[in-house]
Amino acid sequence: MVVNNEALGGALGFRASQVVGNPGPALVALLVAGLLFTWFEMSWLRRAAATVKEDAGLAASPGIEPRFVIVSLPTAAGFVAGAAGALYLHSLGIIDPALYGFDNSLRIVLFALVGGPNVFFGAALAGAAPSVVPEVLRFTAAARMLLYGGVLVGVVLLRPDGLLPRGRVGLRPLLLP
Amino acid sequence: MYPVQCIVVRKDLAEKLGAGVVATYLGLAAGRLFVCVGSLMGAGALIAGVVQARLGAPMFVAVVAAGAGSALIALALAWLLGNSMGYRSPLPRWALGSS
Repeated sequence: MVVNNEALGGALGFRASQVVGNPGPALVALLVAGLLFTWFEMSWLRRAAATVKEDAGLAASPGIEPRFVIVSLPTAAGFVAGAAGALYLHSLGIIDPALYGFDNSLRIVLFALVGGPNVFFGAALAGAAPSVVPEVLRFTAAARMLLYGGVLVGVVLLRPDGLLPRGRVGLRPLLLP
Repeated sequence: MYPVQCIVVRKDLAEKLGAGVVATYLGLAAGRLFVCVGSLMGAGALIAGVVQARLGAPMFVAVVAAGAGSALIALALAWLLGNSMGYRSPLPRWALGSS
């Protein structure tokens, strides 16, 4: 009933009123996100988040507000995800529920984990993989989700920090003494 | 940082609505932080589409509105998920399940 709602485009899906063929807006968004993440890496918020991750109760003693840290970071991540969805819409031209389903979510999270969930460059580089890897692994179409699951388990067990561990790359060593 | 769990049931319903609220409630019931990139991206895409199609806003405005809308959804989820994130949630215990 909801899928066939006329206000949402009916069975044909919700179409974007503007489709952008060139990657310019996405590259600008990537640059802005990179600058924001670089700022975050050097900010007090990053250190506060690391402290809260270790022990929320202990983090409160020097004046860190755990609730603010815990709520603000998913909010910022939601902003980035929403903006990414909007750019994806402008690239694709249509909203189809299948495009934003479990398969895509798993693929995005998987490649972020493989690249390095704690390093912006790792996640950004790995972000290109979801568009390349399915083409390379076309012959594994039937077992692709099994393959992804195996890779996810392997990365979590063997390389929990991803292929680019924190501290190996980034602007921090260049910008800070 | 936290366990990532993504459960989508009737994803067509949850995601076409753009909120992922139905799926998110299942994540709440599992007592884990629920992060579903697809749902937030879908919400952003839907918000951008509506803002552009109905209001005639330029692309930049649509992208920022999509980000703001998804951020609000994520904020609400993070707030509701209090128990599994180290502080008291406004939701009753039965709604959060065992964690």
